[in-house]
Parts: sequence; C-alpha cells; structure tokens
Amino acid sequence: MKKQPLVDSTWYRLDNSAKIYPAIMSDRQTTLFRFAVTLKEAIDPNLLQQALENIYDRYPYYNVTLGKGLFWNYLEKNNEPHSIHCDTPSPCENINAVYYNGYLYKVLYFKNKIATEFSHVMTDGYGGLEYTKTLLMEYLRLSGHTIENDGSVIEPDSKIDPTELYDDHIRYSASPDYPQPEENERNLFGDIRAFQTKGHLLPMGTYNIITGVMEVADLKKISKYYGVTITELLVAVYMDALIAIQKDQIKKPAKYQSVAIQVPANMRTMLESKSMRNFSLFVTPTVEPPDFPDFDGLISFINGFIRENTKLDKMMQLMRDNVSVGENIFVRHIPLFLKLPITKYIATTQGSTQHSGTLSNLGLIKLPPSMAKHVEYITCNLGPDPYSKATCAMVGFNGKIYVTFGRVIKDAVIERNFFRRLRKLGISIKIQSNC
Amino acid sequence: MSYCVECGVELAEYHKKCPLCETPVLNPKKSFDFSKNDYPVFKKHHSTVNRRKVARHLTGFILTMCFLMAALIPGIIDFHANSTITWSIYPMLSAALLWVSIALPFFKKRITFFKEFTMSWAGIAVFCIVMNLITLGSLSWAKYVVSTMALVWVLMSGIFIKGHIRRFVPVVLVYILTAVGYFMLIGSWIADTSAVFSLVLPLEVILVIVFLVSFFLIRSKLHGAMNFIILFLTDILIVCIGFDLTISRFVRGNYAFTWSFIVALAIVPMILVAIIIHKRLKVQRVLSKKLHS
Repeated sequence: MKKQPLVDSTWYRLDNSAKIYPAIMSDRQTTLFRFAVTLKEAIDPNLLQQALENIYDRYPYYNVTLGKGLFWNYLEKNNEPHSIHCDTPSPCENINAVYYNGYLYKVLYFKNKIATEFSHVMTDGYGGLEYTKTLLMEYLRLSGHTIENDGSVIEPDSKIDPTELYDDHIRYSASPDYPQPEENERNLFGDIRAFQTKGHLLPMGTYNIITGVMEVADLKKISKYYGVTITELLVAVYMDALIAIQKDQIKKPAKYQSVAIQVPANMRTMLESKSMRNFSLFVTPTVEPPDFPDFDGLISFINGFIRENTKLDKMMQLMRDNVSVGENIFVRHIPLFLKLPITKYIATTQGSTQHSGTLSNLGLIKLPPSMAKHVEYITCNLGPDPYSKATCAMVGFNGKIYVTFGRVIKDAVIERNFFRRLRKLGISIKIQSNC
Repeated sequence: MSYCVECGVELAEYHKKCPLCETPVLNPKKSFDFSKNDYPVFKKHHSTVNRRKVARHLTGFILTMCFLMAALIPGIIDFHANSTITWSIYPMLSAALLWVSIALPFFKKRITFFKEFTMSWAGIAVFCIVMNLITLGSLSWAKYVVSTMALVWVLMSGIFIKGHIRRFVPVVLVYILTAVGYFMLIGSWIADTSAVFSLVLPLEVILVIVFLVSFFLIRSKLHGAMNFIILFLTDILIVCIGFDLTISRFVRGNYAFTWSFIVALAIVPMILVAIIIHKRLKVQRVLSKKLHS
C-alpha cells in the first residue's frame, strides 16, 4: 500500500477520486462546489480575513496549490498569503491562479453572506462543510459572539488528526477486512449514453443558480406517504422531470435514451473515516427507454436501487474498481503531458455521457445552538457541468431544505419541471435566484 | 410576497419575474426590494449559438474541399493528358486516406478515440495494400506494414476495449502471444526457419521473461519512481547482454560479450547513481514529488 501523507508533509498525492479533476478542469467545468452561509448581520470583511488567518494552520491540507509531476499532478504546500474576496455574480467561477495566489479554495463575502468554494481536487462536500463551519465559528467569535462548541464543529486550535490526510479509497480498498468484490467483467467506460438536456449554452463564466426553499416537514410527509427517504423522493422527481424533458425534446420514441442521475454517497457514513479529502462514490439509478415508469414506478425503482446499491459490499466493489484503474501499472506510468489529454478525452466522451444529472444531498447541517441563532440559512451548489447542463445539491438547516440548481443553459427547463412537480405533490416552495 | 401564477412558487422579494418560467410579477402595488438580493448584480446574457458545432462542421467541410481538390486536380490533368488515369491514382488515394483520417471525424458528433484510431488504421492498411499491389503487383512490403499495424492495434485494443483492462492476465497473455506470433511471422518472411528458432525465438523468450519478472516485481514489491528507474535500467542491461550472447552464438557459433560490454559500462554507473540517490533523503523527497506514479 502507498504511504499516506504526514501532517507536516510539504506535498500530497492526489486522492484516487481527485486524479481525474486536473484533466477536466476548465472555465466551463470548474469542478468547484460552494457553501453559502447567510447570517442575520452584515459581514465585516476585516474580521472575515482575520478568521481565515486564524484557522489557516488547522487545515494544512487545504493550503495547497496544484503542482505537476512527471506522471501525476500533486498538491504542494502553498506559502503565499490567502485572502478573502467579494462574491461574484456567477458562483463557482474558475479559480484564477494569479488572483487567488494558487489556492484551490475561495472565501467570499457579499452583504450578509459568507461563501466558500472548494475545488474537488482537494476535498468533497464533507471536508468543505467542516472547513466552512470552523470559519463561521471563528468569524462569529471575532464578531464578539460567545459560541459554545458542542463538538459538532472543529476548533481552530484543535490537534490535527493524521488520518484527516489519508486517502481512504486506497486505505480501505487495500484492506482485507472488508468484503472482497466478486470477479466480474468490469465495464470500465460503461455502455449507456444517457439523455442530456438540450439548450443554448450561456456565455462562458455565467452560471445561473435557482434555490428552492422547502419545509422539511412537508417533504417528510410526502416521502413517508411513499415509504422512501427525502433523497429518494427528490431523485424520483428529478428523474421524472428529465423524462418529461426528453419526451418534449425528442419527438421519436425510438430515439429515447436512458435517464440516469448520479447520486453521491458519503462513504464516511459506512466506513470509519475522518478523511478530509475526497471519500465519496456515486450510485447512478438509471431508467431505460422506451417504457419509462410513471412517478409511482420511479419512486419504487429508485428506492430499491439505492437501497441495493449502497450496501457496503457493492460500494467496496465500486471503490476497488475505481482504485484499480488509478493504480494500474500502465496508467500510472503514462507521462502527465499525455495522461491529461487522454483522461480528458475519455472523461468527456465516455464518463460525462453516462448521466443526465447529479443530485448531491449534503444532509442536515448541525450547528451548535449558539451559532445557529446567528445564521439565516445555508445553501450549497455544485459547479457548472456543460454535459448534463444542470446539477442539483441540497442541504437541510433549521427545519428547511434548500435545493439549489446550477445551470449553464438559458432556459430553466429542468428546474421548472422539477419544482412544478414538487408543487403538484403539495409542497410549498420559495424561489431565490441570481438570474 | 409574490407568487408565480404559472409555477405556483413563492418568489424572493427582489424578483421581477419568475426565474423558472420568466413570467413577470404583475402587482402594481409591489415594490421590489433589491437590497435583499443574494448575489451581486448579474451581467446581461447574450444569445449564443453552438459555435463549437458550427466550427467543427466548417473545419470538416473546408478539409473535405481541400482533399477533394487535391484528388480532382491531378485526376483531371492526368485524364486530359493521357485519356486515362495513370499516375494520378497516387494523389487520389492519398487524399482519400487523409479525408478518412482527418476530415471525417469532424462530422461525427461523438466518436471515441478507439473508433477513430481503428478507422484511420484500417484506412492506412488498405492504402498500403492497394499502393503495393498497384506499384509491384504483389504484397511485398505491405505485408510488413500491415502486420505491424495489426500488432499495434491489438496492443491498443487491450487498453481501450471496455472491460479488458481489468482482466490483466488474459490481456498480458494476448499481448505476449501476439508479439511472439508477429516476430515469428516477420522472421519467417525475412530469414529461413532455422534462423527463426535459433535467433528470433530466443530473443523473444528473453524479452518475455524480463517483461514478466519486472511486471510481477512492480505489482508485488516495488513502489516509487526510483525503484522503477533502477529496475528499468537493469532490464535494459539484461536484455542487451542476452541479445549480445544470442546474436554472437548465431553469427559466430560461440557465446561472447561484444557490444553489450560497452552498454554495461554506460548503464551500470547509472544504476549505481540511482541507488545512491534513492538513499539520499532530500534528493529523494524532491524526486518522489516530481516522479511519483
């Protein structure tokens, strides 16, 4: 097994999931994701900058820049100063290496809002959220509020656990203590070509965000009626919306394509892990043409699919399959200047064509009561995806669920179908947007 | 608070129209509170056409025209001068090959690398066979080119055909068998059968053994760029010595070190330097960062 990095390492290998991102990062597909916390008071930029500096040393694995080796990219300690910036009209804009001193995350502010944007090269939603919570706590303390931490937020002066730096994909896939996958024929590039919404792309750098705010109680009532979780319900609604769009955009039923939604699963809920790097896998419920199920059929299909495919043995198999590609002796020794274009070609022609959309549920965000009372709401969104055109992320906070779509096409056709379907189910929604 | 009459959703205070369906908020008493806007003011959108697709098709069209001209002009001149097609068949065939390899992919919306590669490869093979038949009336040189291309195609297919990359041992076996078959075929074309068994086959056996031993060493024990370099240099050394001994026995009838001695003089110091660097921590750190695999 490869050596895991130490806390005082000056460079880190990319984790197994992150290896693909340097190849596909572009202005169109920035691979960033964002958390935005809106407070009940206006943000003081000076205090926010101070908070950023105070927590800087607690997250050494995020204070890095992307370096180039002979075979792989790597993360190298960044000794440049990091500073906050004013928010931009379009979230998740590509990170300008000069403007942000090579850092792979941004801290932004606008009126009452603190936003953090992270590159998937460094971490996934869990790591980003932990950082954001610490930053928020430090900011509120500097603002003069007394915050009592109940253990749900990492303290800026707490000791760094060495396992936070681990690439747990590698650690667990090499461990014999977990179910071994059955030998089966691996379909490396997949064979489905999923439906992807058609539409005119917005100008480069423009990213339209629509957030729907719903009561958790309303969604729970409906999901209880169908006997599914909220995530499963929303995936079904999303899929139903995409099926309706496909039927509208493709006239001939013979040309219908599969509809597939990527749903990230946080592996930390299944395996003991404190890793602050990527440690998520995707399950992709897919319905095949020509006879798409109705909404009730979709719900029962997604319920069964997600339950079946998020079992530990299935996830371990998926993880080992993913790791085996990155650890392949041939793949490892292709020089980076060849590896990047090849990876990009494969990712854009094979990987990106296999899903119609992404729905990421970051779950319920828990903050200490002394912190939560200063927070109005929290949203999160994924970066632009020019292939599926729109992505969806959701978080729960303070009895409400914030479902945020980001899209790169002019027409909000996906969001319109999605939220209208939810309205038909009797859920009241409040819409806020940057467009 | 405002509601969209089409979507039935409540809208934030600052929205003049529904972000979902663009239906305007029609309430004369409504005052829009832009101070509560969640984002900085957005730039106006400009309508865009799919420029990339247009550019792709345009490039394909221009290339097609170029190749068509390159094929037609020599053909017309040839036909005008000789009343038949003679020398112009070569530029015409070349233009057709270039069109298949270069221009055709621009018209395909989604074409995988392997499909494009197979298409171009097949085009080149057909081109070589036709050229050889036209010029010499037999497959004299084309058979070497086509068999080499077939070997490269098999090597590539192991990487790109889905599913194969996981089944490592069958892929390696197919590679080895294809390579052995290829060299024996080439050997039988260029030399007599005894040369194949006394020269070609031993050389192949050396290559296969070195490859397999290195492969399993890397898979099981060796990690790190420096180990890999040491192994790679050692492999070169062993292959050179093995080749030298085999060739000298074939040519002179006895085993003798000739040119491999000079190779060893160059490579052994390199291996020693690599081992020393491997033990030096600071140099090792920098190199491991840049060369990690």
